[in-house]
Amino acid sequence: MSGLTVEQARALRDIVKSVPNRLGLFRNTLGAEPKNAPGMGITCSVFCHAVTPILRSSIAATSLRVEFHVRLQIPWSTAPEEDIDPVLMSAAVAVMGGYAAGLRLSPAEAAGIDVRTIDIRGMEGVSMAAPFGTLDHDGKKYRAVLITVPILLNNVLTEVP
Amino acid sequence: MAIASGLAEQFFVDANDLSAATAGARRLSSSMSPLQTPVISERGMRRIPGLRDGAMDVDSWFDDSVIHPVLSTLPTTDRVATWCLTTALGGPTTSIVGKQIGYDPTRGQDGSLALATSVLGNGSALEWGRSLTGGGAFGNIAVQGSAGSLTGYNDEAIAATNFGLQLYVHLLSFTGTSITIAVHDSNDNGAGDAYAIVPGATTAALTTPGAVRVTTSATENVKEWLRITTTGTFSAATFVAAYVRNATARWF
Repeated sequence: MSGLTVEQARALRDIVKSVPNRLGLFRNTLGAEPKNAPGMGITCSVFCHAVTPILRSSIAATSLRVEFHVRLQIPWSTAPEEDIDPVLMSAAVAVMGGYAAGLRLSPAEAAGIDVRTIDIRGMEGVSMAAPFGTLDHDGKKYRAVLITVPILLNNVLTEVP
Repeated sequence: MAIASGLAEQFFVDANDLSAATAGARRLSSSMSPLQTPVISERGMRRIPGLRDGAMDVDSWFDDSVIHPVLSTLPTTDRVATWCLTTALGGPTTSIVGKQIGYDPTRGQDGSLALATSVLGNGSALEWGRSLTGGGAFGNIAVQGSAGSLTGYNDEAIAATNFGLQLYVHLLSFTGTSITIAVHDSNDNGAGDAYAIVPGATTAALTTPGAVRVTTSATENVKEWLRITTTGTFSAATFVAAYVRNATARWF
C-alpha cells in the first residue's frame, strides 16, 4: 500500500470500533470523542491519537504505527462506588482480548490496508496499555480507562531519494 | 501481506503443546557447511554443498505443568519439534528431528526464571514447511471426534512437484483404537480430481500420543492441493501436521 486515503482511514477506524462494539458491553460505541457528556452506563469512544513512522520498515518504504485510543468512561455517580473499577477493569480486558483475538484485523485487507499486527506488546512503542483515571466532561465527573490500540501498517510511505 | 510479526505462534515437542510457556526462539537454524574446493584455474573460491544441519534454540518460562515435565527429562532418544510461525492453514512451519541439548535455568535478579533448551539435528536438518492443520479454533491443532478430512490447502506459488514430501505429525492426545494421519492431494481441491493419498505420506496406525517424521519416495508426484485425511476408530484426537514439499531433489 502507499499512502492512506480517507476511505481507508475511515475503514480502519470502523474496524477498530467494531471490536468493542460486538462485545455488547457498552451503552454506546462511538467513532469519535463525545462532545456532550454521556449518560449512565459505560460509553466507549474510539478516536485516533497518533501516526508515527517506525524503524522496523523495509528498505523501500516506511511503515507506520497508527495509535487509536479506545476510551471507556462511566459516571462517577454510578453505584455501588466500589464496583466502578472492577467493572471497568473487566471491560477493558475484554476489549484488549478482542484485539488480541484478531491481531491482523483481517477485514482491513479488503480495504487495501496492509496490517502487520496490532502491537499489543509494544515492539514499536507503547504497548496496548490501559491506564485508569478520572475525566471531567462538561462538568460531570467520570471514571475512565484509556486503552491504546497501536496498529502497525506495512510500507505506507514510499521512499524516493 | 508484506512484513509480519512474530505474535500468535505455537511450539510443539513430541506429543506436547509447549506454546503457553515458551518465551521465544533464539535460533531456528537450517545450515549447510560448504566444502571449499579451490582449483588452480579460478581466482575465486569454489564451494560445493556439504553436510546440512539444523538447530532450534528455544527459551521458555519455568512452568511446572507444561514445560518442566516435558523438557526436564532430557531423553537420549530423538525429539521431534515443530515451530509454527502463524496459526493459519498453510502458515509457515519449521521442524526438526534431533537430540535435546540441555535444559538450563537462569534466575534473573528481577526474579524471573527462564530456561534455555536446544534441539540439534540428528542426521537431518531443520526443514521449513507449511501447516495442514492450521486455521481452526485452536490454531495449528486439529481436533477430531472421528475420522475425516480437513480443509485443503493450495500453496499457489508452487505447482505440482515430483520430488516427494516430508510430513511432521504431533499426536497430542488420543482416545480410541487407532488413528492414521495421511496427506491427500488433488489438482483442483477435489472439484474434478478427487483427493487421493500421496503414497508414503502417512503415519502408521497410531495408538498413543507421540510425534513422527514421515517421508515419501524422493520422486513422488505431489499435486497442488494438499489436505490431511485421518482414518481409524477413535472418539477424540488432537494433532498437528505440517508438510515439507521438496521443490528439488531431497537432501536427506
